[in-house]
Amino acid sequence: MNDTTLTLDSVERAPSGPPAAARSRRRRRSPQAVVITTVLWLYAAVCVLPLLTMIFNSFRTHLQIATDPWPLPTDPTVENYVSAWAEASFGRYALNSILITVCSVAISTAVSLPAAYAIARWRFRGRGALEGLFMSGLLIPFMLAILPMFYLMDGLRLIDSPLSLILIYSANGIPFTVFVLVSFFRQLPGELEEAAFLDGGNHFTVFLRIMVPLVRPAIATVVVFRFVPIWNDFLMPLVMLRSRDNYTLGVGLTTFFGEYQNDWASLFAGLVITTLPLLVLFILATRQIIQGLTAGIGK
Amino acid sequence: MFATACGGGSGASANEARVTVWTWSNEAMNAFKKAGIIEAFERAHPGIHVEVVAQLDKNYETLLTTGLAGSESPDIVALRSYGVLSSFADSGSIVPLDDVVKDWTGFSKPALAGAKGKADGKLYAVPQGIQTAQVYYNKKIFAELGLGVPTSWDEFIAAAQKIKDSGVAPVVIPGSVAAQISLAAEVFGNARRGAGDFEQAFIEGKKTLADPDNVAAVGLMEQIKPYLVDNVTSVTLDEAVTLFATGRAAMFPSGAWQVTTFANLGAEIDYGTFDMPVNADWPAKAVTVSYADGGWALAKRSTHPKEAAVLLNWLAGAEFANLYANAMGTIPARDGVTLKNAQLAEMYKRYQSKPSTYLGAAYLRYGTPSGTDLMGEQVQKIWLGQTTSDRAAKSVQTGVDAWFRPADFQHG
Amino acid sequence: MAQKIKYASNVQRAPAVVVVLFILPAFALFAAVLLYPMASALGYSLFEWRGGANLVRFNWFENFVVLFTEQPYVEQMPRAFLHNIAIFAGTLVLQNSLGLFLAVQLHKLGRMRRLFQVLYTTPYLVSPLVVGYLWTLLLSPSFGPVNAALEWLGLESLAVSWLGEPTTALPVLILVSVWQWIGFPVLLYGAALGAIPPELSDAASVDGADGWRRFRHVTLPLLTPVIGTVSILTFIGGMETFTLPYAFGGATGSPAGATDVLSLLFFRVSFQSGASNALGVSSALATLLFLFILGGALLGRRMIRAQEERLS
Repeated sequence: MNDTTLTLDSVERAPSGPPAAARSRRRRRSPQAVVITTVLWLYAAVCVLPLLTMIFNSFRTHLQIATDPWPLPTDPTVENYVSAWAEASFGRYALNSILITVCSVAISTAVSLPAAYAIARWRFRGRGALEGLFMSGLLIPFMLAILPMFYLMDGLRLIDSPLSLILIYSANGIPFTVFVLVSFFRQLPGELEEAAFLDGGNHFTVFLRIMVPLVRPAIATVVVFRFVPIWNDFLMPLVMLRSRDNYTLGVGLTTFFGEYQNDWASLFAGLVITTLPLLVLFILATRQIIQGLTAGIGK
Repeated sequence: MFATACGGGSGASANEARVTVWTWSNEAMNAFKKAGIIEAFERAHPGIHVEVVAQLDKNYETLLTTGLAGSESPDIVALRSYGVLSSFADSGSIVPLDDVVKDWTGFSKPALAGAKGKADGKLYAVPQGIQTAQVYYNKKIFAELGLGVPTSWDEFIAAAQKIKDSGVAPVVIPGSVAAQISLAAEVFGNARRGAGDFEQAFIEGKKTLADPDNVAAVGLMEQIKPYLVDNVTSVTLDEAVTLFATGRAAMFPSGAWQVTTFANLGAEIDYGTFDMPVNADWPAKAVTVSYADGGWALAKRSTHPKEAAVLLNWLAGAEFANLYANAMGTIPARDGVTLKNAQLAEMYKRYQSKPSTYLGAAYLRYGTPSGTDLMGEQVQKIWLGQTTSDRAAKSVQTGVDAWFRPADFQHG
Repeated sequence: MAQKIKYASNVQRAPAVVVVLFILPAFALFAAVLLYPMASALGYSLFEWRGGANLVRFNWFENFVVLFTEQPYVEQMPRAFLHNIAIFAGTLVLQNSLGLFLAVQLHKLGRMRRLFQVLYTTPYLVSPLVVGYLWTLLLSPSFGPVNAALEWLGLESLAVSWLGEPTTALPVLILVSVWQWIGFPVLLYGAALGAIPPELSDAASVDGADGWRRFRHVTLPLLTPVIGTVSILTFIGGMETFTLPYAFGGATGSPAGATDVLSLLFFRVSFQSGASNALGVSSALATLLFLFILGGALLGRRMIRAQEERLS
């Protein structure tokens, strides 16, 4: 095992920390660097200001939002949060959202990992076709599949069950997950496996103990980029679920869209509530993603 | 004995049933829950529980397509009148109500027209209400400028000019929303086109939208262009309401639902309403533009058709009509209703004396492209200077020619 | 160059049983829950339907013929298609210029890099529907802060009716779309840049190559696979975009159809219309779109592979 761990370390060590080229370049602040830093901050403002508007607006009344463009609340109110939490039963919906999203992402990642590994590292008949088939899943116009998916779930007697959503989201995550993971697995050096086999490992242990840990960053990427759309979705839950008790946060938000009038104030409060967990998840995951995306690509 | 029945049928005991009702409108769901409508029904009908669920308005038809197609189907669904209702009737996912509902006599003819299947002329829904469209005007602005309610189109334009000179936008229209533009165009142009006479000729195939009177009606949208709020093609419905409610626009052609919207907004506004006045040489007198605004239909896959029928009969009665029209702020579809809100009562009165059908809603939404979508787009083009009223009117006709056959409407 | 994108030497063999065990779970779930409904949905396009899902008869390719011969499709389909292409092209250009620029600049930073990466990705966390409504409020000429700020800065001439003018509505749609998605290319490009061994660019500097030449001849070729991945995903996203145009211009692509795209046309035909054979015609439209995207994606992949070969 010694050999293997050594190799592992050397692979992981290489990308961590700022690259030497970057370090050597930051000697002193040239005017050009100042301009570029300014541009980076300006673009950061462009990214964040609209979202700050959303947060500020969640502390204002409907009429204030509608009439006064400047979003700074002069007379902040938490009324919107109270009504959002109560009207849309966010407490209960949050539990459902967590259950459905976590299960879906876990399942699609778990089944995609071995498949991606096989496609990336092994030569077998039909490999190209299989990869193409998985890729075609990325191209599916989702709206079109709603009706047949409903029939399928109805046939399985899963209407009004969170399981229907978990199945759909897991399956829907497979193309993207395989697509990303294949490229990561492909870029790992082959000597790793050879060394592990010499140590008496088999295909399963090599995959689980050596290869999977190496693509952790890719896994983090996939988790975040799959987590967000599932968390935010409202159409599929509305199609598949019936009882209010099973609804998700995304559905809760639709409570504030009226036929003739939208309740902006409560909507913004609801948005802040639903988006905060994503932000936390994302900040936790970026550490993994960034360190390790580095390990994967281009090698 | 006292256990509440659970939905879906399997677990319900013999005497207890839960009837599930779907609607696209959060407002309607709240009316049912908070204005005592469900309570009133359940008190009179022990053993039947009612659950009203509001589905997302913007995807309502998508959700119905799946919802009505499998198990766990709702029992009663609200459907938008005319084309959408007719299409669900065609698919067999809702059942005819001619014999299910015992008494149809209270309903007005236009209300029933919106509840019929185009293919067989049968009644598929209990009408929910009527939507009237009129011009809202800011009384304070009118008083300050010494303006009265205009009595002719020329007076209307003169008033608009005076308002414009005072620095206020005379007219706001939600010009980014096709359906809203089309409705506003109807408020302005229905009488100019010839109102009921034109409608008759239109469904008899004697006149088309390319008719000079309709071209002139579309032309009114060109005439009011100088009097619209700035950037009208970007104005959303929410924005239009705010512009009018805060006094930045003096007039707003829109539906009766705005009475409730203005009240919810929390802005103090003193407003009145009028129907668009006509010039002496126009083919018709002033009318109240109106259309059937949805109805309650019975799902074929309902697991409690008997109880649902009981509820439908109650929904067709005067007790419900009174409760619902007052809670929702809508014009009733049947007689025997007293509206408590003074604004709505006034609209209702005008509507009863001289109703005229909103042509786009009643006949031009049975296929792709929808006539009201086309109208919205064409009027936007007029405002953007990309087309003329003549070409716009003809273009709408060419568009609906793809599927519109006057003969389809002969039996109703 | 040592860092060729060559994987052949890595590829090994495994017993058939093992291969099957590795692939089966993913394939079974994918085939049953996604592929099968999808195939039947595409099959819908070969039938005539009445009002929703009431099957009338098999009608071969009639639904496709309708798309190419009848109103409104002959007029609206090409228009929507061009808008999709414009959205794809605009997004592609911006993501590969702005996104690459940001990624390259962030790469030079030290500990601040992660903060910026998080900030640039936050718009992705909010659902596209809400992003659409949010920007509608922000860009409103009457009540929006964007135009209020422009006027405050004395730039009244720039305070236009962003979503009300056909000339600006589509570009704004593209910009907001890029705004929301830019985090993805920034992260991916950043990762790829991190993987380039410093020796390579150092060697190039010793050779006397300046910054741009180093970027052009050393960095860019190594980024080709990632740029390819991002471009293909952008293509798919651009062709299928629905939520943002819907939030901006409604189902009709306001103003005057300037933001109409294929998925909006699909939506109008399938769910909103009272048309009788809506399911058949809309399925035909979706099938065409699917085939086009498939063809485009395959072609794109081939072009990228060719480019990789040429550069390596």
